[in-house]
Order: sequence, then structure tokens, then C-alpha cells
Amino acid sequence: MLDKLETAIGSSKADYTDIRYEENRRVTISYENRELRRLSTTTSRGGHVRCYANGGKAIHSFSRMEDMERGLSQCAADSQIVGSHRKAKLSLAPTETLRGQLLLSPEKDPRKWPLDEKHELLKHYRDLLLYIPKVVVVAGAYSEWHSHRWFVSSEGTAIEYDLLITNIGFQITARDGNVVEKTVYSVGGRDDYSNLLDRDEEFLERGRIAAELTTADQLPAGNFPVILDSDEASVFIHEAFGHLSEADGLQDNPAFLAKLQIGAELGSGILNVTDDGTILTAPGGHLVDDEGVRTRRTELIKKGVLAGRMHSRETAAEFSEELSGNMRAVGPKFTPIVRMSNIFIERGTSTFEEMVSSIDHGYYLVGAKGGQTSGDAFTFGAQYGYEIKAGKLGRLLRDLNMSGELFETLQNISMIGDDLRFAERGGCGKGGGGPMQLNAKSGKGAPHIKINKVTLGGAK
Amino acid sequence: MIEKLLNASLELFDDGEIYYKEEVNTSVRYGNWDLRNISSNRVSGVMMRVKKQGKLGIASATTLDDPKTLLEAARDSAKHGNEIPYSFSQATGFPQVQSYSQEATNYPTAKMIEMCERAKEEVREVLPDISLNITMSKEEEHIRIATSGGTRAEQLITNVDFTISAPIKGAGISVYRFKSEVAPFEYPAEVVRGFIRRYRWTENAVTPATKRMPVIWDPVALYMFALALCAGISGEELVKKTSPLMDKHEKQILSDKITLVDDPHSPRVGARGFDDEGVPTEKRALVERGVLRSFLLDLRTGAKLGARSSGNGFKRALFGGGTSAMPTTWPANLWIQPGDSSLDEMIAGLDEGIFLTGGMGFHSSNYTQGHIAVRAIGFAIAKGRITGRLENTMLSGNIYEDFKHVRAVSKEVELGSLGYYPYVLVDSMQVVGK
Repeated sequence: MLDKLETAIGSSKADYTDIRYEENRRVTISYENRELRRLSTTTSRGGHVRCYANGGKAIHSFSRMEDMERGLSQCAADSQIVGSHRKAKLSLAPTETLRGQLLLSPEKDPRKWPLDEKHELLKHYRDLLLYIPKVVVVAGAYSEWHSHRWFVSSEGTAIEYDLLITNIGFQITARDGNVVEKTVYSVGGRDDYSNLLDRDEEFLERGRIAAELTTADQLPAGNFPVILDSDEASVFIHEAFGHLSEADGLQDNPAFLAKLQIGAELGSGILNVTDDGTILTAPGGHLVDDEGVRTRRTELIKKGVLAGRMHSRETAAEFSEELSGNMRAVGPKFTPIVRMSNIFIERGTSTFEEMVSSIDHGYYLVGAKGGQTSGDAFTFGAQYGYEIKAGKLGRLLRDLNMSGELFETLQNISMIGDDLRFAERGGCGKGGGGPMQLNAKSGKGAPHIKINKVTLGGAK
Repeated sequence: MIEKLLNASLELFDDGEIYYKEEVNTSVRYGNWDLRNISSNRVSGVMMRVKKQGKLGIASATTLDDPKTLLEAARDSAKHGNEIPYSFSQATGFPQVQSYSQEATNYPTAKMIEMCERAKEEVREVLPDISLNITMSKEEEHIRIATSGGTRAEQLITNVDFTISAPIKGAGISVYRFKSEVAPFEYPAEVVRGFIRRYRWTENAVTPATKRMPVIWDPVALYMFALALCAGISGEELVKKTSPLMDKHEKQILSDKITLVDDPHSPRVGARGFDDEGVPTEKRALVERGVLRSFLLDLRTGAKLGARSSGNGFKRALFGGGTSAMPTTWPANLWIQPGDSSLDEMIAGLDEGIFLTGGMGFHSSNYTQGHIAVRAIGFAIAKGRITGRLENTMLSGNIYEDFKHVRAVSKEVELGSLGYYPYVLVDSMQVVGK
């Protein structure tokens, strides 16, 4: 395959050309209660070409190998057109030339596990949840995704590498009269099967909470101090800050870039944030990105000060900053864009008890429920929460959404826990100027954190 | 190729369905006034569903080139599959819809660049200090569905899109306007001018008071209403018995000013003659003057509820979807009946309120129950005028309570997500600001 791609690149008329070819295999087993909704092993393949010429860029995706040459020549011609229109010329930061294989070798390789065992494990967790009173719908899935990739560039890089991730996740719906509430929980997030085993207690707890939520109170709207659990805090750092550390989002937004110069003071001195794709035990772990740059650890915030950001070769050149190996695509239909690998808030020194006792009237938000960000504005939900009154945890609450402004909120982080955890479910949506790419290989982590003030949008 | 695959599948299985889609598209993208790239695709996807002794098997791939692997995957899947209570489509006649333009297919990249350049110059004259982004694209889709029951459905779809946007200085969000048509269009002056008008509204940042107030919903914000409502009338929620509308058929659920039609047959973007299961689409009222009239069903949920599919099985999802996804119930192409008001009249008539153009965090709301809690994107209104962009503002409520009290619906109708909508003025919703 590498030879075939190298030969094709030889005919390109662009200044720089690369081709990525993928063969992907996805195993899905999904249930809704006792109904098997899907059991399938699907394959997909296809390629993606990128050309730079005269400071202009063009990209092309193809499904059939026979279409590669036609796509390549169209892409090269398009890059010339862009180059002829562009005023600020694009270039690529230099990177080492890689050749050979960079393949994963998990100890308990899920690809080698019998399908029947995967199926039985999923049913086992489902049955635990179905017996919880008030739980009416248990929708869950086993998913396993393996992507085998070949990447060749006109600079001489020619590599074969892969990505692998497994998950078991459930959405648990409970009902009491007209009140319907949901929680979700997911395990796995690695290339190793063992992380999916022996997780009964965690699923059960999330199921019981779904049932309790049907009689929980709704949250009043307003501004309050909050503690975020690890899951919520990791979504916060991913959504609110992480996306702004992806340099491609700043390329076309100079006003924002001015706010985010390296050395800018963003938070208090206790805050350290890092992106590290070399942690292979978290969902975003990988060895090399989709433009042939090795993954590495990048300090983003050091003692509250902006210390670095995530780059493509193009943005690293444009910003005159270090390469970071964060350029990734979710499939052959897509061009790589700058993505977080495993972003996390580094461990602090406070205990959870210290945080709770420091709050007179506030809330403890638990369990991520999706988030969204646009520039420095963010919103995300919590699966449930607890009231904190006079330094003590109180009643359970449902239907919580919080929002705020990144810069103000970073300054308002006043305590960081000593209990760093990585979420086991990846998942991040980003378009980056093109179609939405939903990346399962995106990890996030954090300890508990206390924020002095956020806006909570409750139902009351 | 499709016929061959279908015939081969019938040697192994009792019933079969092939869904095959090819896409060809080109787009030009300007970032911060400069042409950033030209992107093109020539991609395909195939999904096969089979039935063997009542059990469902699924397989998908990128092309039709390797039928053997597809058939084997379908066979393995069917070994484990659940029994399904439905057969694949047997429909043979479909409504003819206008969804394709040869001119769109042949539309040259140079023309797209020319149009973007012209828009750029028009904006530069009046807003030279912003960071302007423009994307223009042409897309062509070719969908084919064949079943062992005799269905042979085929549709060509084209789209030409023009989107102009710019981030608001000092804020994270962007202002954008767009136009999307089946066929190429002349220079979209109204879109460019609409963008300039709205960008000028963003100069001041306003955080309204925390209280209930009137909300004007922009057509592009109404996807939140549409998604929440369509979850409530979806076959999935009915089968699970978690819909808040379980016992509301023929009852008043919204204001009598709201008539919501699923209208896939009118000649506009989103027109479809059949759904992704090869079932003919239908034009029908979902909500008529506030009264719930009908539900969205696909083959599976229809069979489970003892009804037929309403032609609403689509390979969509809130995130994801695509050829290899299983169909679930979605509206084909929504349409909210316009009224007699206008956006300008609505704004002029409000002493205090907000004009909502978007919401962040919708998907983390409990929206299947009608609940919406989002960071509000849009503009503040005081004494009949826009006073600035919203900052630090959240909006929360429940469509089944708040949309019972609709004050006005506009004459203007614009394309939004999942369909075409007018501007809708809701009497009062909870705004969380200062």
C-alpha cells in the first residue's frame, strides 16, 4: 500500500502532497432493553489527499482506489488556484521524516476477543440495570473501532499506524408518573479489553440515581459557587478552554488570538492544564497524528499562564510555535483538523471535603451531559447535582445546565482537588470549517474543582 | 451492481434491502478575508439489511466493489440478530419531487470564488475591521434503494450553499447568514446585507435582567423547538413510552397559531420522494392550529405500534448519522405555517425582550421532554429597538408550556435546520441574566 501511495504522489504537480488511506472496522452491539437493535461488523475504506502549491491549499477525499489519481490531479490544480488568490501564503513547519510501522500492541486485544463474550458482557450490565425499580429503558452498546492507516508525504514520510478504542456505555431512563429522567455511564476508552470488565457497581450506582432523579427537585436559576466532579470538570476544560487552544480555530480570528498570546495570565497560580496524547490508557492516546507528526505532551497552562497550544504543521508555521502532533481526522471522508488528544487539569492539593465545607450556598454538579462552546462562551449540562448549604451536601437535583465566560471562569477556579481522573468515554464534535467530525479518540481528565461563580440555568 | 448484490443476497437470505449513496461536492472557503482552501469529495457508502428466518442482519461498506465481504458480514450479523416485526419496503410508486439541478452539478468553482470575492468587497466597504469568513459549496447526492420486495427508489439531490459569517469582536460567537438552494442562484445581496445589518447590532453587549420576557425565535433557532417536538412525536419515544405526548393525540399541545407540517414534496432544499427505507414520504400536518395530529413512524416503530411507516425513517442522528446508521424517525422536511407579522414589527412591538438566533448546549437539555436550557445567542430588545448582543444570558423553559402562548408568527419564512420556519414571537420565557 505504501508503495502504491508513494507512486501516486510522484505524479503530483503541487509543491507538497500527502495521501492518507484507511481501512476501518467497527463492531457494534446495541440493545434497547431486551431488544437487540444492532449487531454488526462494518468496514469502510477510502483516502484523503492534501496539496499545497504557491502558498495555497486544497483537499480531496475519495472512496474508490480507482478515483485516487483523478482526485489527486484535481486537488493539485485546486491548490494552484488557491495559491493564486491567497495574499498570506501558507507553509508547513518542518517535521522529522518517519518511515515504517507504528502499530499498537494491547495486552488484551479486543479484536481477538470472541464476539459472543462481548455480547454476553453487554447483556450482563444491561440486566443489572433493568432490575432497578423505576428504570424503564436501558439503551446500551458495545463499540469497538479499529482504524488501520497508511500515510505518505512528498517529503519522504511513509508510515503505517493504527487507532483502536472500545467502550461499553448505557443510557438509563427512569420514569415516575410524568417525570422522565436519564443518566449515562460509560466504561472502556482504551485499546485494551480488560478495562470493560468488573464494572457492575459503577453502572448500578448510575442506574439508581436515574431512578432517584424522578423525584428530585429542579434547580433554581441564578449565579452560584459550584464544585464540579471530575467528569464535569474535564468537560469544562475540554469544551471551554481546550477548543480555544486548538490553533486552527484562532487562525481566522485575530481578535481572539490577541487575547490568547503565550504568556497571557488566564487563571490563578494553582491551575495547570496539559494535553498529552502519549497517555495510551486514556481515550485520546495515539502514536502519530494524521500528518505524520509524532504525538507528544504539550503544556497549555502553567501556573495560570498560557504556555502553549495545539497545532498542525500549517498553524505551527503561521504562529512560529512548536509542533504538537494534534492534527487528526476521524475517517477517510475527512481532512485532519487540530484536535485535543488527552486534555486534563493537573492534580491539585485540596480534598473534596475541604471544597464542600468552603461553600455556604452552592451546588455540586456530577456527571457530564454534553457541552458546547463558541469562542469564550460555554454551556454544558450535568446529569445531576446536589445542593450545598452551610458547608454540607444536601438534596439531589435534576435538569442542570451551566454556562459562563471562559476567562472569567478560569480566574474563578479557587480550589483544585487531589483526585485526578480521566473520563473513559471520548467523543468530541468539531467542524473546523468543514463537516462535523465526531472523534471517539478524544480524552479528557480533571480532579474535582471549585468555581466561585457560574450561571446555572435551571428549570425553576 | 446493486441488482447483482441484491440477487446474491437472496441466495442466502429471505429478504434484503440495499441502500447506496454517492456524493460529489466542492466547496471554497474564505477565512479572515483570504481564500483558505478548496475542498472536494467523491465518496460513497452502502448499507445492506437482510432478514433470515425473521432475524435482522446488517452490513455496511464504502463501495459495492467487494460484495463477498458484505454478504459475509450480513450473514454473521443475522446469526445473532433479533427477530424483527417488519418487512423491508415493497413500495413501487413514489411522489415526484424537484430536488435536482443539472446547473448545480456543472456549476464551476471559478463562479463560486467570484461570488465570494464580490461579497467580500461589499462587506469590506462598510465593515473593514472584522474577520470575514465565507464558504460556498455545491453538493450532489445520488441515493438508490432496492429491496427484495420490489422497491427500486432513486433520487438525485443537489444543493448550492452560501454562508457568510464573522466572529464578534471581544466575544466568542459569530454572526452568520446563509442561503441554500437546489439550483445555483444570483449574487445573494439580501444575505450579505442581512449579515451586515446583524453584525452592526452586535456593537454593544447587553445582559438582560433575570425575569420572564417575550422571545422572538429566529428560523435558525427554531431547530430547538423542532427537535424537542419531533422527539415527542417520534416512534422511538412512543415505543419506549417516554414521550410526553403519549396521550395527547388530537389534543391542544401548542398555541393555535402554530401549524407544523411535514412537507417533503414542495420543491425546495430537503425535498424527498421516499425515506431512507424506500417508503414513500407523505405531506401531512403534525400539529394543526396547536392540536397534535400525527406521529413520525418508520418501519420498525410502525410495526411495534401496530401502524404502517409514515415514511419518516432517516439515517440521521443528533450527531453522526450517515449511510451505515440504522434509520430512526425524523421529519422529512418541516414547514411552519407563516402568519401575518414580520420580524421588524415584532421587534418594534416589544418594550423588553430578546431576539434569539441560537442556543448553546441544547443537546444537554432534557429536550425529549420538551425542556430547553441553553446559553442564549442573539440580541436584546428594549423599547422597540435592538440594543445589542446578548452576553452571559441563559434561556430556559419547556416548549409544551411556553409555546402555548405565541403572540405572533411572521410572513417571512426561511430555511433552518430540518425545515423552513417563520419568525415566532413567544409571549414569555425564563431569561437568566443579571
